[in-house]
Amino acid sequence: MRGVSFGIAPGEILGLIGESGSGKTTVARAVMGLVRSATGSVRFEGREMLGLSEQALRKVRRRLHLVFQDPYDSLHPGMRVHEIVEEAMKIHGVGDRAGREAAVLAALKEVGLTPISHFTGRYPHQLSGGQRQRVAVARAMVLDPALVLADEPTSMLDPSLRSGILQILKRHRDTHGTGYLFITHDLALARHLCDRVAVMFGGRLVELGPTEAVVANPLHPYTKMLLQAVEELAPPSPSGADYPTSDQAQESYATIASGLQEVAPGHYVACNEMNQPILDRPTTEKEE
Amino acid sequence: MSTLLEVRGLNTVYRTTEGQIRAVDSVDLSVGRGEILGIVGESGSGKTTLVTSLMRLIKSPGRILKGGEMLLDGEDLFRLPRSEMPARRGRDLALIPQSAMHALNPVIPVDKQVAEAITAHGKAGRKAALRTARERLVEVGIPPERHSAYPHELSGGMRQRCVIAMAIVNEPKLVIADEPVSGLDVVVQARILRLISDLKESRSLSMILVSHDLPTVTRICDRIAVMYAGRIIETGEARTVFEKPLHPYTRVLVEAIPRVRGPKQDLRSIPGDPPDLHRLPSGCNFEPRCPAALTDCKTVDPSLEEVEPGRKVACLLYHDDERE
Amino acid sequence: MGRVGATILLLFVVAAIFAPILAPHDPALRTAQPFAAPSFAHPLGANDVGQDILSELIFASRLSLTVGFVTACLATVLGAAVGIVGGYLRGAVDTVLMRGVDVILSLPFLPLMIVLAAFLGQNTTNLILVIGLLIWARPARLIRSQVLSVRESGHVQAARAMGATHGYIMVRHVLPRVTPLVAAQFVRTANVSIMLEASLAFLGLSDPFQKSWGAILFYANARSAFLTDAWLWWVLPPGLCIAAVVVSFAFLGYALEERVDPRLRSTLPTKEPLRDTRTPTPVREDALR
Repeated sequence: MRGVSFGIAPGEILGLIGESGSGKTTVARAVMGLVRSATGSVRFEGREMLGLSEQALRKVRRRLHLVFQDPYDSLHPGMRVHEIVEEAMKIHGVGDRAGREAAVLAALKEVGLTPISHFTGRYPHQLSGGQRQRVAVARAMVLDPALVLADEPTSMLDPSLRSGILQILKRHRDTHGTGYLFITHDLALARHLCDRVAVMFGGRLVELGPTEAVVANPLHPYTKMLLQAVEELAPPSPSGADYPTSDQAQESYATIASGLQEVAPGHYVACNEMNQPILDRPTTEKEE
Repeated sequence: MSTLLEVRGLNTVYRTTEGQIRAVDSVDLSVGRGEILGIVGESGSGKTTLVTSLMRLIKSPGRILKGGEMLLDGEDLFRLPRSEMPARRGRDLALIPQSAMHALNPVIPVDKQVAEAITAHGKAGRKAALRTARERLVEVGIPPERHSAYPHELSGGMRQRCVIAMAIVNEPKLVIADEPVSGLDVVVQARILRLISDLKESRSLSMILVSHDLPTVTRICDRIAVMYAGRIIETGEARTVFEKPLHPYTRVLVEAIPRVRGPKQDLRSIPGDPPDLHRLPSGCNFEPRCPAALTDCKTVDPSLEEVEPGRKVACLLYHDDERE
Repeated sequence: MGRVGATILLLFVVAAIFAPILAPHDPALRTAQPFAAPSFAHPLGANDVGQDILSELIFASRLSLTVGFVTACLATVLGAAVGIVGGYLRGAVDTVLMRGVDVILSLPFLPLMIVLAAFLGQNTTNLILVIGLLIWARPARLIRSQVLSVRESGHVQAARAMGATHGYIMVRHVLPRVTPLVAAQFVRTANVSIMLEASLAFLGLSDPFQKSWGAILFYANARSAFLTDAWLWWVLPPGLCIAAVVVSFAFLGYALEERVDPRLRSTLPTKEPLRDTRTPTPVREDALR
């Protein structure tokens, strides 16, 4: 991870787009304060996260929650749904029995797991993948966090269920003002949820800007390549015209890092000193 | 176009602790020569079982019910004694499995593995097989200097190409690809799909491509069949099914696809849960989640019927005309 | 298989509990002629002192089984604790603990126990301690292995992300996942300890005031029962009892181990085999850890 800088405003949904090896997971871990060897600064609600002791980190984690990718793995197989959802409250000693129960019911309602009585006593193996992921989201919401880190929350779900989860996230942001860092490889999906997107490649943040701007006018060659691939995989256009499939984004550029340049209002691109976009070729063969 | 594969009345059941379920329910399929048939399905649709059934790899507690036929080039593969199937697999019928990483032997270089596919069928000696294997690897886009690499030394996309090479090396009549690009980076997915498309052109490959991803399937397949709860509920030409989906389920699948271009529309999703094959509703299987359900749908189970030439759908919305 | 083992064990446990009712005589009393052959009053005859062997046998089950259970408890609790703490915390703690385990595993059990028994004196408590403090090492190793994989699972990560303390995670998240393995290990350990106790007793190193089956064999041997007809009723019964208990523990252990192995490693068994319950996962070579 090199020279990654970005911010998330309260109530903003930022999409972190990247393929495997792009460094997006490292960024997420750094945001959680899990990367000890990181230099620079990670400020959450005004507090510096890097270098915090384990104990101090735990306090921070009341306000920062996670949704994991694998709904089959992220729920304890021996815990019932209501136990899973209220666990965060128990860990941090929040509320009394009645208060916790109310919070759990509210969270389950928000994620659409109704009738609630049908679900509270169930074990994860009695639920489908989509339902499990909803439980995971409810778990993340229950303490009303300031920021939720969602790591590919829909990539293991059926396509027909994905937007259901996205709608839940969006609604939660609208009603509670929670910020989201939505990590995904699916640029098209990010477009439907995120206010801004940050594109990562080779450990670098290569482009950052409002979603529509980046999608309509990608500046960095990698972003362009990504969009091209997405369009190629996208449904054929009704008019019958297929998108051109050129391969020129294979070139590498000089790699003198000089941070992100603001090319348009709010739209940043990683450039070298000559104001040319940087395209770092990773030295190991991670892709073709 | 002549028909290469004709499947009729395929039923595969599983015995579970809660009773018997029908994972594949009265499926009829046909694939023409040089045609790619796409099968789209989500969880519980039965597509995995379908692939396994076609390869006759179903094991207890599952079994294929008698009465189904699978005619490959006129020969019913279901009637063959079990012992003869291994000779057919890899030779007449090849599988591109879902996860290349699990299909490749981690301690054997890839060129030798592809060659093994040849020698296993006694088609050539070791040296000749190795030569052919290397040619195939080049054909699928793996440069010669990587031919003796081990699977873990290659990227995901390259491993998938190796597995494709293994599948085509014996010039099979039919290739079945089970989610050939899932799990790969978007850019790599596009390239692999392009490869498959090119192979189809250059070799007149006949293929069944199974995926949960409708756009993928639409892009390179000639025809599509959509599966739900073990049944085929819609078929037709890929473009047509995509642009004018008939079955409400297909329609939601299409509308659930997020797009990068064009207006940002509201993504659709289906309420409810994937079908529980133990407790299928009487009447239409999709009815509990269907946005366009009629009252009859609760009691009448629609069969797959042809509503236009080359277009079939299993939905009462389109059978009404015939009723009159 | 497990049921057979459990049933036999249950029979022995019942016999041990109800020994005073079941035994025809008080084994401490001289109720027959020394070396008496089996008769109606004494189905297994009498030993060299004139005590009824059958009653001895029934009462001895108490000691043998108690030693087995208690030692297994001690060893399993210790082994599980070490395995979980080392496997979860890793780092220096794990290294130190595992080196300890390695040392213990490398010690020759029987000779060491003989020496210790001779040194520390022959009583039942020492016996339990000696055996227990040696056989916890293998379970610790096995449990640690499973903990290594459990700690990577999503729900453990989620608990960490929620700010749970290590202790909470080890008790609430890791322990429930390894409990099946712990149970299987308990059974195995009980087995081993019964055998070890019998061996030590046979060598004359057990508590002279409490007779276990092995002790009966010791006296039988010391009085040359092996060389006379007396082996039939003096040697065979205790030997068979030991064998029966050991075998039934083994059956029970196998049955438990089958349930532990791969099905409980990831998720609980799905109701429908080969059902494609999830969309294919992107092969993420990195992951949020």
